[in-house]
Amino acid sequence: MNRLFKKMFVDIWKLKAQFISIFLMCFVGILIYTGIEGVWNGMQNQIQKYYIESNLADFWINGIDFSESQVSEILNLEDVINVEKVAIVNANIENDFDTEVRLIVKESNEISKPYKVDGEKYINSKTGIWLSSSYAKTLNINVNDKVTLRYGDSIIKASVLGIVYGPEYVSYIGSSSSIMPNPSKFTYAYVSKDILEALSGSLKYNQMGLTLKESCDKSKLKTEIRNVCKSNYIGSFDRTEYAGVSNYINKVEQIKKMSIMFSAVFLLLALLTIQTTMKRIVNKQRTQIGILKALGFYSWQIELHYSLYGLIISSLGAVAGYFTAPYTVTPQLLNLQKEFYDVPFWKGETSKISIILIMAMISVCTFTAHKACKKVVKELPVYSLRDENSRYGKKLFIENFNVFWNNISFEWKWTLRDVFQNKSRTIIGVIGVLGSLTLLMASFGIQDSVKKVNQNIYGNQYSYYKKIGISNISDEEKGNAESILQGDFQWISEGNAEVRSKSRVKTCAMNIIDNGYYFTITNLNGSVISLPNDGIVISETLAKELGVSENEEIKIYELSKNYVVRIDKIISINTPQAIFIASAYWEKIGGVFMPTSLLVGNNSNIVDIENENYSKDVHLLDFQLKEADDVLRSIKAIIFMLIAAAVLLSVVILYNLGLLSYTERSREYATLRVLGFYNSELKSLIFKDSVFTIIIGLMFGIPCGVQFLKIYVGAVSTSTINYFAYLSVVSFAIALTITIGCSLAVCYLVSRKVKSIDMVEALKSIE
Amino acid sequence: MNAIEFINVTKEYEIGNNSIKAVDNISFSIEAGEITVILGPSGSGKSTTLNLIGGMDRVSNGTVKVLGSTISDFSDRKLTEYRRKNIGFVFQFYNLIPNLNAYENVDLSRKLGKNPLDAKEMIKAVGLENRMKHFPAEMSGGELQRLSIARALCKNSDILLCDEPTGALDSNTGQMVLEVLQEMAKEYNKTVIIVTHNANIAKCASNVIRIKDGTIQENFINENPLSVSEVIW
Repeated sequence: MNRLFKKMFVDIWKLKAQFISIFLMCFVGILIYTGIEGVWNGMQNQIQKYYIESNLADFWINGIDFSESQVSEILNLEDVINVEKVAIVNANIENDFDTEVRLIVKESNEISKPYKVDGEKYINSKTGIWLSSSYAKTLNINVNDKVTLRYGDSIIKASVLGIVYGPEYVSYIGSSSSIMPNPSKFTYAYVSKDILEALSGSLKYNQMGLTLKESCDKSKLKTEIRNVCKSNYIGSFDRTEYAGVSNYINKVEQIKKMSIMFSAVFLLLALLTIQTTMKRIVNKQRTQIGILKALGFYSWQIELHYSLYGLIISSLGAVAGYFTAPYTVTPQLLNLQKEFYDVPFWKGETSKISIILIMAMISVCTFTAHKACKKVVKELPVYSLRDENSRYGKKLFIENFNVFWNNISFEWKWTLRDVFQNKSRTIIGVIGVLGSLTLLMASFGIQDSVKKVNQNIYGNQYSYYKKIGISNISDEEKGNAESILQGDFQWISEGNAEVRSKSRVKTCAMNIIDNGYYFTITNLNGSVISLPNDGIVISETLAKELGVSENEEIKIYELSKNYVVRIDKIISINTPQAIFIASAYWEKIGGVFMPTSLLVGNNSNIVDIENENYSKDVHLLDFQLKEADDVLRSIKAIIFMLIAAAVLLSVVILYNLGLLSYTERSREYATLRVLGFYNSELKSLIFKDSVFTIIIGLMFGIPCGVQFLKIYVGAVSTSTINYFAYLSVVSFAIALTITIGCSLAVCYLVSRKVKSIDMVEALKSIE
Repeated sequence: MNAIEFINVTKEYEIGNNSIKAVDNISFSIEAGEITVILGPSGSGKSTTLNLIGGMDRVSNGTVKVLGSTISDFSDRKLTEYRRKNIGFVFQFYNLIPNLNAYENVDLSRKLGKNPLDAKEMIKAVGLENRMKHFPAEMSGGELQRLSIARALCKNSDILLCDEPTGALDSNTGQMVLEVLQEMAKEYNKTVIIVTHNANIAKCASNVIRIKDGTIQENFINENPLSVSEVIW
């Protein structure tokens, strides 16, 4: 057996290109999967840990000045475990950015407890402020520093007692018009009771955080809460509806789906390549197996020997990938996420799936090697010592088309017969090209799709110059603003409402839109949807969640009122996934249209409006588009990694196959050299073989790429943004160029080997 | 006129730290249009000599002249051109392209020659007219070697190099193949060099070069070469 071990290492060295390719496929396959799994699994586990530690609420009720009796009644509801009153007031911190700050007072600090990073633990009775970690870091504020808070005309200086993370504010963007966190513009902070009371003049609890039993029926709970809170009720949200929490969950899901889908395709292709390569390596050792048998080695020794080929190489590759990922891919990608989320714990963590995947990969390699050698080991040595004579010519069906067949060169005849004779090799080559193009199209396409959707939203759907956040505007102020803007404006109200369908209750976004052309609802086809005056329009994603169809009636709850409305149209829209109502219709059915935003064009009088008390914040459309594109950064690294993997996949598969094909034909090439073929003619022969594979691969790769992109984009869509598949001509051309370029480059590398053909080999017998 | 001339040719191979002289300062000449047999046991240097004539290998020292040109000075490309235009090969193990049928294998060679002969005629000439569309895997050893001869002749090159042409065949088939070779060489007036360890083949040659340990032991002209059928195998 020792000799066999030695032989194995000699063989591995001799066939290093093939073994390196198997090593690389195992390494990269596991590296990518484990690397990205480390990110989403780590994010998922760490957030769970954080949520458990902070006792994050399962449910939130927003309202106006909840009374003690209401809190007690909520606590007595069947599914409720605990309740905590929270007072929230939006104020400002006086600094260069005039940061809008959400000030929070927690009554008992038992639910959704802030996580302390520095300073003291939050206690609502101790005078001071606990700033969010992201804000403190951005503005370089430390414990014991002082900040000045402003609420209307009231100004208070508060001492910073601690730096914290708020578990409910993992992704706090502050305004519905913001796209990504900007702590200098919007932040949150916990304050003592006395500070909030002194600042706002009173302490009114307007939120309740609830912890629930696992078996809780949330639709039922919403109804019960509404009945308890009555006119104090505004809305209620579970974790999937509460933006500060759900954005993070959505992102984890997005990364998870992206990595699983890509890895599944990559690993499938890798396993296919490994299987083919292992089989061919063992088959090439056919005569050696015969010799070993003739020498008296037992079958099990030979089988073990060749199984070890697969076992050792795949184990080395897979294990190396597994241990490299946590130090390379995972931390790089996690660092990118840190920018977007306020979470105290960041740690990459792999799951059992990685281990299962490694075992599967090693098993496939070992099993393939074993299976291939078992077939030969079963034969009598006299047969295995003979050449298998696998390379036999065979007439093809297309040869019956004489006009075609008689007019093609012998090179093409040779190539075509070779292609059809070695079907599995051809199929793997085609799959290599197809797989590479599919993955590249998906990787480029996901970027294009996100960008296209952003352009569609901040360009077609919203076409204003500025969006001014409005609060508590009076009719008189509204009239004045309209006259200042001379008709160049549009009022909209963006809020949440509880919607009840026949089967479900859900808190969802509701947009009430006034006349104007700065917010045009466009569906995914780009066609403009006009809002009816006798019904509402609802987005497809939301319609699915509510289980409703067109012309069905739903009930909208807003404050203490409810409205029964007919669904006029269900539309596919990128975002928001909401209910859209014309302001005129809303008022017709008895609602009060209270705009939350004013959309304006590039008007010189805007400054006058911005300076009014009702103006909260201002967002430039261009900046919103930039912010939306910036979100791409969080997935861009993943996309680039996937592109690199796709390129590596095609290079490894094609180089490997090219090399195997070249080795199998080397005697024929040597003969042709002896007969007087120039190197260039032999190279052209090798190219023809590859060209066929490339063309077929591309023919199938393009439709596969389109389909995969559609599925891929569908998978990364979230409950708030619905992406559609889009691949720009430039991206398609790049994907095509990379695939063809890699294929040709590999072909060139393989064809260079003709220079070193040993013609004397042609004169020797076949070993 | 000399078709081939070897002048003090040496071929050395470096194997590890050792140097082995496969051919050691040999000189001989071969007349155009004659059949020459290079005879010798395994490892004698006969195949090396054939490789040097065929431009598949380079001399370490000395000069090789073929058809008046000093091929030992040729560049790689010129050597390829030389093989393409001037040399026809018959291999011990046939070396036919498995994915091309009999006709295509011969026709492939025709395309390389400067004044090639008709592929179908050549196949007919070696008695394989009924096997035109057959692939090598469907043919016997004798047929394969006849096809190999047809391929070598089709180029219409001046020199035919045969490396153990009967080495992989039984004696009857080998005899049949040699008959074809002799007949064809005569008919098309080719200079034929056969490398073999089979002394019987030497009886059919007009020139015999016996090599041992890289040196020429004997080089003689056979005034009365026998036809293949006259030789007792």
